[in-house]
Amino acid sequence: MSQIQYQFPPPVTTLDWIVVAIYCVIVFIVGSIQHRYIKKSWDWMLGSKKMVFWLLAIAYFTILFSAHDILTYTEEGYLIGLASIQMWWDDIGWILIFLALLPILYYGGYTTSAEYLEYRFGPAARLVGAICIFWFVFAIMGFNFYAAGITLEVFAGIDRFWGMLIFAIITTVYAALGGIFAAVLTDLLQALVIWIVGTMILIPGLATVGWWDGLFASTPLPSRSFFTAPLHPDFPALGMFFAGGLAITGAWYFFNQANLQTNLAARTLNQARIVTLLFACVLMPFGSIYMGIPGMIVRALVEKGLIPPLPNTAHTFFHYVAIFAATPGLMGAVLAYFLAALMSTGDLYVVACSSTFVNDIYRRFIVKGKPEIHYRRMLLIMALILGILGSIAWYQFYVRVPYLAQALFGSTPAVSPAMCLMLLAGMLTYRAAPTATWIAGAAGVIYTLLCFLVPDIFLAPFTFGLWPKGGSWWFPGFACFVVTVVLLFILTPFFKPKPKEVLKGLVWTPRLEELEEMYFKAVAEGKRGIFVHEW
Amino acid sequence: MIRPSLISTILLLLLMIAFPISSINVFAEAKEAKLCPYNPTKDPIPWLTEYSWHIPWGIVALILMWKEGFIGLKTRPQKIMLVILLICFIFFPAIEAYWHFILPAQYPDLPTYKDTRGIYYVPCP
Repeated sequence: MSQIQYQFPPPVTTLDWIVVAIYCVIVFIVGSIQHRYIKKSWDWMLGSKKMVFWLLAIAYFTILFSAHDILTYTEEGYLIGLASIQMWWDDIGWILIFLALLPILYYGGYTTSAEYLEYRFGPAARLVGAICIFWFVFAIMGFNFYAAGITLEVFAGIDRFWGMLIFAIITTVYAALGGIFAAVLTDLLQALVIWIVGTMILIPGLATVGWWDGLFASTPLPSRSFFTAPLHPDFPALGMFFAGGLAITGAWYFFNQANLQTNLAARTLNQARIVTLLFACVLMPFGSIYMGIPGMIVRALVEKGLIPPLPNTAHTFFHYVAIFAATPGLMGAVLAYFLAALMSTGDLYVVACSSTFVNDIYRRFIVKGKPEIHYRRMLLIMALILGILGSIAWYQFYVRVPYLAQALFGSTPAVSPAMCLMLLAGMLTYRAAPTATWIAGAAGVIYTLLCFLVPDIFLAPFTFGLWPKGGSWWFPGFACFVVTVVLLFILTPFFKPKPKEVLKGLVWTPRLEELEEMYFKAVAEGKRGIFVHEW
Repeated sequence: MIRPSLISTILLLLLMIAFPISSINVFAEAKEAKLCPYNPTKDPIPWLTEYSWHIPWGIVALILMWKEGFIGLKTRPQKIMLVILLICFIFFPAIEAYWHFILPAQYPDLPTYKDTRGIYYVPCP
């Protein structure tokens, strides 16, 4: 077979830019006009619990299907093969425990998980929780825009920092105007683009390497496995489990504010559960084929000698596009596909950032008791400010680590274990004492921060000898997990838990009908849920 | 009544046992000169680590949902949800085990690697 000739970066014609511009205008208009449906801050954040379950499941999927995932997992597919889709399949324990505990969050009427922590453990726990949510959302939103910056760098020669800012501003404006209504409705449009264009560019690649058989036969033995070696220097299976299966997945269901808002916007508890199931067991595994597989296809072409090894693996996706989609019009569709993935994730994170700040910090600790219109305005203003700030906060870290996946999984889930453990302790046991729990959570967060500031001392002991290799950056979440668990076990016996009577609705109970009764009574009285009153 | 603190302790112990075992490869590597690409089919640690976390939590969750009445054998919706959740609970560990232990060995290994980045070398068997 002769060598494949292709131009890199792939040429973008005027027709392609027209396709991209049309797409952007449609999304912007659809998103922005949702502004007129926003009457209260609750509409902005939870769509007043009027959203249908299948639309929410699709929105849930598009949050996951992000621009940074496309670049990251395609690079991983090239480097480690099938293990690149692992992060999309390793959720089952978390999915089931989240489904079991969802009634507590749904009937409580909370907007954020941090709000739950206040009712369960007091204001200090809420502050720790809000910090965890911020950390996660800032990092993941910033990485999403960073991926956009890389794209503009490849296609237009614009420095990735400025490219990142341009996308951050566009996404932030339309998300700020429409809140969750805008995010969910534009996500439907974006999901269609993702599925159609994703399939259009995947099929020629698979056909070229000889479909699945040809693909697996052309890739090296370790690249055909679902797991890498436990202590691989760059992609250790242990680290991928800690950062993925343990930390980011826990965060994904329990306190990723964008997801939680999508889930809690469902009309009923059972619909909220179906949203999670549809997403986690159908849409996510199905969507994983668009992620790592293009990278595996590029690797197979290299192994067959059809193209030379890639000089910069972060550009694997663009090489794939250059080989299989570099025709006028289709290239524009591919850029729209990438933009769809970028904006569908970015918009919900912008909403999430603002909701968390206004709900958990501004309204709770800074400015109390103002009229509803004041908080609604703050949601808009903070969406604009935080959306842009969040996109640049982690920039320096992203450019320093060797591979995209290390940047993503080092930064985003780092403090997740602290938050997840506080939530699990609160929901599963009456014995969890407020003081012990928030101290353990805060210590986990502080220790994780130290891991980033002085990694030689604080991160190295948790990397199983991998430090200072790039693979070490998969382990900050493990450090946070160990510190929080150890302190929870040590401190809990020394502090007094709250009496059982006041924990009704805050700790798991088999008597769901009692919770339902309390919830509907609260709703009839104009409250948001059992614990949270309407603003 | 389930004792979540007990379950968490067991989970933690399971994880703590899995990690030291997983480091055996690295210690062995230092002594050997001849290295081969990592062969996943011979190494259960990655799969075990993953599912020593997910399986216990899955079992706890199914018990909680059973007690709450979301799944069960009394009504049709309960039965449907029970079947769906059980299928999911079995499907994910099973397919991952297949992709880790069986699939890689079903194709002949490549004689040469033109680009070795990403391939982790361990002592030859």
